[in-house]
Amino acid sequence: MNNLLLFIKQFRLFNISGQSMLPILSDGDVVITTSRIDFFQRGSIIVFTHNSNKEILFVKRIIGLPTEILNCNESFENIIIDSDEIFVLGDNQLDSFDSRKYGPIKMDQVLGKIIFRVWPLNKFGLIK
Amino acid sequence: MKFKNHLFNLLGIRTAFAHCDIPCGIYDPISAKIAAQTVLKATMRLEAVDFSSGVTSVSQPNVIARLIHVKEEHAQQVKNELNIIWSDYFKPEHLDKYPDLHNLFWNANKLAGTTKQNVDSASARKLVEIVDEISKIFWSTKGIEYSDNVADVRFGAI
Repeated sequence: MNNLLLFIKQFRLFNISGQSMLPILSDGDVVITTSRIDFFQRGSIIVFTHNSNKEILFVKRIIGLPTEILNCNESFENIIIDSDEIFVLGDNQLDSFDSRKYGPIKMDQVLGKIIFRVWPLNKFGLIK
Repeated sequence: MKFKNHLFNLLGIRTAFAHCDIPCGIYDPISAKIAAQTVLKATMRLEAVDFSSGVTSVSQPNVIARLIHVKEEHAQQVKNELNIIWSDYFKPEHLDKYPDLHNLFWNANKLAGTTKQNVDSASARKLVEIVDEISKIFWSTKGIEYSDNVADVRFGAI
């Protein structure tokens, strides 16, 4: 019974607001996330909290993993990602407020990886 | 929209933002509406200028110059305000629901140009109307029925 509760507890529902994850996610989509860290990898779409206000949540895609060095910000400087951080970008990169602006985020800000869309019904299904 | 919000609260569904811009960017076509009304008022005042006795005082051309300046400046402001909403707020998915959106913005820009080139209150009135049409669409994307019930009071007397 406890195992079943733990299994169910890893899933959460979120409503998506905004267009920076187009075309994969649209404004108004309702999605399910899993908090299982072993599912997180480069390319995963995640929900995470604002670095100072835990009530504000964002959705982006993981691009850089801990300890990697990236070069994709506007100043063309190398970004060293710490061992407890990840670098995130919006899919709609011409129009996204993401790690290029606010830098890498801490792993403990991540609430879950988006795995399934439940709304709208015509887009119901797994999100890869 | 309210029902959806209540349902989400009931089910404990939180909103995660896929922000396109710096969070808390505020868009509102009301600035364009006020500028369009200013164009209309300046135009109507220009049309009302009486030249039947010729220019008898330097204050007459001064008033006319000021009205033309206000008309020119606010017609440009209508363009600026609308174009920010057009390019920064509206997205391709809005076009699916409102296929005439590009035409509305394009016509509004053309009308703003016409109100600069001419002293024609009919064009200025159309400009106010088209800004209202855009406002209706803008607010409907947020689930709100647009109305500007203080428009006449704001416009005041000529």
